[in-house]
Amino acid sequence: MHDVAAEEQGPSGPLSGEQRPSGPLSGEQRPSGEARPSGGSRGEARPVSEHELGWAIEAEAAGEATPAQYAMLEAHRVEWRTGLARLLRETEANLVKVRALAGPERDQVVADFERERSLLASALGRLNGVKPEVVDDRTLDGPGEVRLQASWSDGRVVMWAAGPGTEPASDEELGHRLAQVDAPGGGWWPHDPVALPAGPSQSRERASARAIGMPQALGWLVTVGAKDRPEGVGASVVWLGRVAVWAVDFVARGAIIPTLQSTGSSFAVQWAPALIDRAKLDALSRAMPGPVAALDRADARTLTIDVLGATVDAIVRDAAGRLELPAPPPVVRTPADVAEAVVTSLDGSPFDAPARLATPLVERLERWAEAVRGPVDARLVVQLDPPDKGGAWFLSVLGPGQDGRLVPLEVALVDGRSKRHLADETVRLERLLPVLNRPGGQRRGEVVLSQDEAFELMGITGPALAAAGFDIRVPSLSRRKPRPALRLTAEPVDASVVGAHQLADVRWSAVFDDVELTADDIRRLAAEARPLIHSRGRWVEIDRVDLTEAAAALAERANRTRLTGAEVLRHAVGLESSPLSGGTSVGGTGWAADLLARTSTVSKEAVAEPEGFAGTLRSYQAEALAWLGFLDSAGLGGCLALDMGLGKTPTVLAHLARASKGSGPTLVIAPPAVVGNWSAEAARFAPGLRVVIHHGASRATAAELRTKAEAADLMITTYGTAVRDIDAISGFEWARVVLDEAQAIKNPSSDVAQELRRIQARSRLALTGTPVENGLGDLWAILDFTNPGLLGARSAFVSQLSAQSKDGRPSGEHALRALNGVLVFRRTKSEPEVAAELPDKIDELDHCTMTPEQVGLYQAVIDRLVLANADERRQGDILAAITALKQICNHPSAYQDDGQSLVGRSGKLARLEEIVDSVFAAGEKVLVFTHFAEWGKKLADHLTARTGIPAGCYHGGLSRGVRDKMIADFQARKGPAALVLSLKAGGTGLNLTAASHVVLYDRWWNPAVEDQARDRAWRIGQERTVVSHRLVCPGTVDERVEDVVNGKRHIADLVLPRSSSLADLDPDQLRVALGLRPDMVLTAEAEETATSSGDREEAA
Amino acid sequence: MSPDGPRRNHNTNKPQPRRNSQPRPPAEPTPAEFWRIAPKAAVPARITPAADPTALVRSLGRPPLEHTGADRYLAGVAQRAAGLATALAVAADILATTDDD
Repeated sequence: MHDVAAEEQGPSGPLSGEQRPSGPLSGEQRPSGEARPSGGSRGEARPVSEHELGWAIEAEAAGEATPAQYAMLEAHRVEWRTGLARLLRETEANLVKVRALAGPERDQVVADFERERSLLASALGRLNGVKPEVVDDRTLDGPGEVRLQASWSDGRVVMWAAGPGTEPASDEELGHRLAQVDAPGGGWWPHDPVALPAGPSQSRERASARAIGMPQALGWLVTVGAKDRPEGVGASVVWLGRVAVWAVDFVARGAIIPTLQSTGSSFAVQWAPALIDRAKLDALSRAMPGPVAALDRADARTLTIDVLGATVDAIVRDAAGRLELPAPPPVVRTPADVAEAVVTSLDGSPFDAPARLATPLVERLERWAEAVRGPVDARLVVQLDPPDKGGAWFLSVLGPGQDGRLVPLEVALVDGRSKRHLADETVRLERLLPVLNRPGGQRRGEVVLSQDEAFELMGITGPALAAAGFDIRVPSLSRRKPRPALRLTAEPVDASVVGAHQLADVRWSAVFDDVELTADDIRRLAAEARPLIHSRGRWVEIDRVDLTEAAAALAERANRTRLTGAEVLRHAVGLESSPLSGGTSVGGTGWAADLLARTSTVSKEAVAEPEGFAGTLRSYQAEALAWLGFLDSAGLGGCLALDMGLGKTPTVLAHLARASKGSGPTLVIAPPAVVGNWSAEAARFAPGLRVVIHHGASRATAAELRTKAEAADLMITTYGTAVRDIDAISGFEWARVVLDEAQAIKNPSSDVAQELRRIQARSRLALTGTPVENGLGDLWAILDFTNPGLLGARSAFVSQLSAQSKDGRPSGEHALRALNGVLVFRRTKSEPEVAAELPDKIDELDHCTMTPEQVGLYQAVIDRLVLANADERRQGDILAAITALKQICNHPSAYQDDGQSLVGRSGKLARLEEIVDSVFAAGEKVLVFTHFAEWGKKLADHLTARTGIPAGCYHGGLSRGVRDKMIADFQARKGPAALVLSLKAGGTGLNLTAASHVVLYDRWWNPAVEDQARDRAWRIGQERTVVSHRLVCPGTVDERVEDVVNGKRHIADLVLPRSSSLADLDPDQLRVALGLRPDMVLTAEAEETATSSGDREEAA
Repeated sequence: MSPDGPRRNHNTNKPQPRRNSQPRPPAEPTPAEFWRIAPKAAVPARITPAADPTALVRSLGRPPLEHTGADRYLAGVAQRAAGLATALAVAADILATTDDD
């Protein structure tokens, strides 16, 4: 907005001698200093006469001032500015008068005054240090380049194409160029060629032209004008576009007025812009390129106003045409008929009316809108001061005084410049703000508002006043409803006590945004008509219901003045009830407050390549690593809840690699299937760690355990072994204990959970991708293991977090979000920033255990094969034995259908169950591939019975229709699902992108077959990362197939190191090729393989 | 003080420019003037539609039209026109985004 007060007052700041101009003012030399005499105070300047100063002002504006005149002006900058502004106003007033003149000299006189006005306006701009509203690029259309140009002619846009020093484009090329810049496709009509100026010895060029009306060109011009550097159009087109955008701005603000124009006996409503910003008008006029005026030689300012008016008129007419206006009177005979004709023709439709009736209305409309017609000279300022201590809001209206400075309205009306205009503006203002007329004010334009009235002004009336052209200076008001929260400020009673037991004195308050309110504050606010607070630089209204609830919450807690650190922490993470929607925040000092303060900075400590770690962590892993460090330093345990496939194991290994040295051994307790993974990944990512596996018959005895553990950095064991050896394991303190797949302890009363609680560790960590499998009780069980007693009772934990989840989000996810970053570190694959870092597919190798039943059967098959008479043994027998061994690795029942329950008899099946549980808990789908179709059917039945979710088995024995339906059902089903497929029937051609997990239950010799299977899910249309699990029993034929698949050996080498026939192998060779390797086989007790099954049944 | 002194010299009923020595502007520009290097119009600021586009018309008081619904129709046009202008601003991607939270 144009600030007249600023124009006349100028910016403040010293003017140095170097800045003082010594000749005609240029852009580089323009003064930008303060309106003070350069010699010091005004009193020190040499007295000058008004005549002297007046001449100097004019001479400087014309660039003709002498050094002495400059010196004089510099010494009287306030008077210089005031005089210049007054000259400008007078020149503009004169310009209006001379435009109304007739006669042969009219054009010359108008041109002279326009030049005068331009010089004065430029001088005033320089003096004020106002940068003209132009950008640095002063080049219009480059020489020799033909561009689209636009001229303004009689209310139409005339397009042609030419450039300096070039031949203009033909009509055909013009049409081509118009199409290239997306100009309107229709609405054009031919126009006479545009004559381009020629030099003295040149012939005039004529450019082919086409014309279009502003209504038709409007949308395109606005689009061109809105762009920074539109391509393919000349500066004249851009300029017209800029004016069109300005017109849109006028109409969008409602700064429009109707006028009545006559053309003979016909009249029409024409809409004009109101309150035109003088500085902007001048800037646009100065920037008008020559081609715009190729057909209309009017001065730039007149043309600018003309284009602006035509564009405003086009927009408003179009809009009015969409209104249902009443029908016009058939004949206009009376003044009332004229008025009715005007109202019914607001869309600009012409109507006939006798001039004697219509002309008076033309004048009355002009007078009615006179206050807002044309460039704005002085604006009223409506200023609302913040409330005083008594809550009174002082409203004052200011106007420009004699010297341009803002003065109270009453003074401006008597002593200011443009008194009549100010009086008109005051009337306008009082219409919109009638409170100004309230009796009792000391002066006109000053009134004290109530809080209610102030709120109304800030929120509703103020914007309307601004739209009406007044300068509104009111405190900012936010429409956002502030969220109430409780704040607990703690001060430790005894700082020497650290940890969850530390006692602290606490003070309660309510917080609305960033404003803290005591009970007294709330009582005072509640007594006000509109409870307003000043928050983040804005005034905000508090909801009365929230205020009442906050008062009640504080009253309820008035006597709770001392809490333990654990209690404070529970309040902070939302484990204690809060009646306010924003929960409870914690401030002050002490263990809990300090700990919470640290959580906000933990992510800044993320390191992607920590010391001792041979790899690079993804961003979320690096953050998790920083969080693990935070837990260590805070003496807290926690739950690392990264989704399956997001790399929990490497993250923990990075933590151990960095933190383990000298801190004592870490005990990792994991399902048997992932013990091998831990060992392999430790060797890969943390080669500096000394790793011991405590599992199997050859594990350390109770007496040896401590020595073995203390000689290592990391000891890995299984849940079953840990429970079995719990006396030895809990006989000394570990640096850390880590539970992998920690959902194994989700039942806190189970033996596993109870026994593992006996382990002494300085830090306890739980790893799981599904911390809330069956409900919030699972999460409590895990967190109560990691931080015994900290969370309080299970029932309170569950009910509190369930109650908070009234926003529709599943309570589990809500709880994880509440605890995230403190006791839980949760990331899921569905988070965009996590997904962005993930590869398209993740392959995981799961080492599965063998139950004693599997080991026995496996050995029996080998024995039969070896003991058979070598002469009778055929190659087919060996291949059959290999098949049998693979079936045994899958499950005893896959080898011999004994009709017994499948539960607890196979390590692979136990691992599959764990995977399926995790996948289902995340609401996702899984494909399970096996190359034994019969076993696949059993698997599907087993999963269906176990999970309650129907799992089909896709195999070659099904009809085409059944198979198609099975696929369609799987793809369409909402929520978790599993589908078992035979590798042969389902490995190719299917599209199963609904699944994001693939389990390769058994291995096939050819890796390409497995890739094809995995690619059922990982293919076009898949938007998530696909996690592929390969299940392998180490030390068996399964692993030898794995070696083949990995290219580590050939099939022939597997069975026939040097021989040419399978049948040629001697018994020892057969045992080496196919037999069990006791040192590698992972054996599990039946209870280990049944763990997850048992839990499931228990939960059910 | 007043800088009116110099102007009083030619203070007649018919306004006169102060410097008669100014050259008459050429009737037709030369090619150099026509294609002159001029400041480029600034990129426009984003457009913020008024919450109440009828405010300005209302501030002028009752329109001088002997018609009972005149002010209502004028307000209706202002509102509809502001809506159309907003649509144009959206289409040109120049509508301001509100910063109120």
